[in-house]
Amino acid sequence: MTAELVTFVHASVALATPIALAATGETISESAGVLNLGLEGTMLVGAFAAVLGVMATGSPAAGLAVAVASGAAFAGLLALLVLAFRADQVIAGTALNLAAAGLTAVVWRAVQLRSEFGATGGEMRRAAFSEIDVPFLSDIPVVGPALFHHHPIALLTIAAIPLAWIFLFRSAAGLRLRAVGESPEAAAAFGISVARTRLAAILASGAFGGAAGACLSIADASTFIEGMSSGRGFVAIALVIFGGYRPLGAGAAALLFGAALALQYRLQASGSGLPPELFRSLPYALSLVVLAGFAGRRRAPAALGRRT
Amino acid sequence: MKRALAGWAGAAARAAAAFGIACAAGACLLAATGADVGLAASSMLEGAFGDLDAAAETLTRATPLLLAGLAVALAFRAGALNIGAEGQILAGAAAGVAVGLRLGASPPIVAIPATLAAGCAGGAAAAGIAAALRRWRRVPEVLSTILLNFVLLEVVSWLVRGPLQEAGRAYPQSDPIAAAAMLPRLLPPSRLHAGFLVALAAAAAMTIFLFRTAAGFRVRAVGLGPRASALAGFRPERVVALALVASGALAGLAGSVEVAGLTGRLYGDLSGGTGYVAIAVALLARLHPLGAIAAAIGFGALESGAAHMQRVAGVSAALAHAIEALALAAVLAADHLAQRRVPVQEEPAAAVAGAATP
Repeated sequence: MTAELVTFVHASVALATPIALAATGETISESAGVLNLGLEGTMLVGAFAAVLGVMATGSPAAGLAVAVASGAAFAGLLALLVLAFRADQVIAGTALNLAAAGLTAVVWRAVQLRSEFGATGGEMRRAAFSEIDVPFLSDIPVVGPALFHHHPIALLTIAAIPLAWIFLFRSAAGLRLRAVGESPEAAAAFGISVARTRLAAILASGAFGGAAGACLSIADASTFIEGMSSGRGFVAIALVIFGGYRPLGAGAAALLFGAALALQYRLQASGSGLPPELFRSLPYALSLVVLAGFAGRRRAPAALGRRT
Repeated sequence: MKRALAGWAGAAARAAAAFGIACAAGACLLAATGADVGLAASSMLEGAFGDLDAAAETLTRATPLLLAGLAVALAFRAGALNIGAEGQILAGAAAGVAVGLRLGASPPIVAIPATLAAGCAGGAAAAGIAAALRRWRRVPEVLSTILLNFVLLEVVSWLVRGPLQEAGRAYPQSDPIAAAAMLPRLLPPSRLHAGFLVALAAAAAMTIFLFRTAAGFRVRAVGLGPRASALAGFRPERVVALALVASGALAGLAGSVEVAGLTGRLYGDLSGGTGYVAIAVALLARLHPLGAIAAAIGFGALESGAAHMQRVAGVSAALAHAIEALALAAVLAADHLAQRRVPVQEEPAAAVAGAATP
């Protein structure tokens, strides 16, 4: 029984990781008043860049670093459109998602055609992240194997969520960031640079999105697949609302989602006879249900989505 | 009038420039990946305009882009951010097939309108979910429409493996709809079908609706200033909900036209991103139905050309999507730069909203 529970929680955490990372990043940008709808595309770019990084260096840590940097750079395009060119946030984000799908597909195809640049599938699998133990913590009974025996990105996520909360709600910089999201005019009058704060928030959300993408391609899998983010960035944006625009809330929401996904895989494996499409649509349908229940009850940052 | 005309000319010029810049950027990308840029460009042009067949293929591909682009433009005009055209196209295609399969005994004059109308109903129902969630549960339609895209993709995938799968059960696709429900081909042997005329008629009808009817004025007024239009007694939430549903109907029509004009069957990747590209079509057209014709043909040429390029030059046809996205980004930037250069600019949104401030 305990072993089963440990397996279940472990699977929930693993499945929650990419969504939790993306939702944490989105919480930061939305707290500054920027809806980063390009998160989905940023994840795709991160997934792609991580694989290129691993191919080039053979090191998953380098792949993760490349993904984080690429995610931030890609989100920089959103900052350019939204902050410098004062474009609508939703439209700019949509342009980014479309661009990410097209660009990664074109370059991935080109990479595959050039044989001198490319690790074989086996090499990629060996180079991908594998699960590790956190010293001491993983020895705790039940909690240890469930929470502290994961691939490094999941472990970093478990650490990053409380850190993001401390940053947003217990630091001066976080207070300034939230002030920009609530009332840019008041923040500007207080001497805070709205544009610079939003730029930082967007880049941070991009870095998180890139890491979330890396989780998909070099931790959960060991290759890039066109469109492999498959809507998880959008699910993460829905969970930001569910989580009440707070990192801990977003993390908890993602964990709940991870648990639902883990349960679904278990049902699927047990041969329920239900169509697989029903299970595959679960994250999106569940997001809709959660939004229907909570969207009206959560107070968004007052300046969210407004043009600068 | 003269000034409005100059404004339109400027907007069209910026859209064309954005398209050109995006194409140039696409060429740079290809050069960076080591592809033969010259071969790619020439094969793309050949596939888009090389001969009558290629030009007809361009219009064939422009057809769903135009209908879905109109759908997006209508919703955006009302201030409703419908990002769900992709799912609504699929819903329309599924409904069109469900009805079209059962029309073997009907003459075309009944079967074709019934199939297309079913598509409208399917798309409207899909968008109606988002409209209801916004109206009664305050769910932002941006998110609900996107999430519905993924749900509807799975629904169609289930339909073509289950209730609507072909009798032979060999492939995940439906049986072909009744021959009487198929739209006639315009220019055989090309694939161009009468759906293109349907799309042109829809663009004309939407132009009249938006700019010559009271209901169209309400849609535009609500989009420009919901508070002001509420003071004028327009009930903005209702207008937004209706516009969303009508937008879904247009996207659904795109789906059923694609079935009745081209595929005859339902299958999983029937839409293939058309609903997302439609957003770029609508915005490059400045949400104007007649502009959407030009933008849809431009993107249709790109996609027809890219398909040919993939066969000839071995470059992924997804390049078309990358160029479309870059064109959208470039036009956003160009609009901002143009706005900064011209000091006196008509700002209808600000003017109307300002009137609402007590």
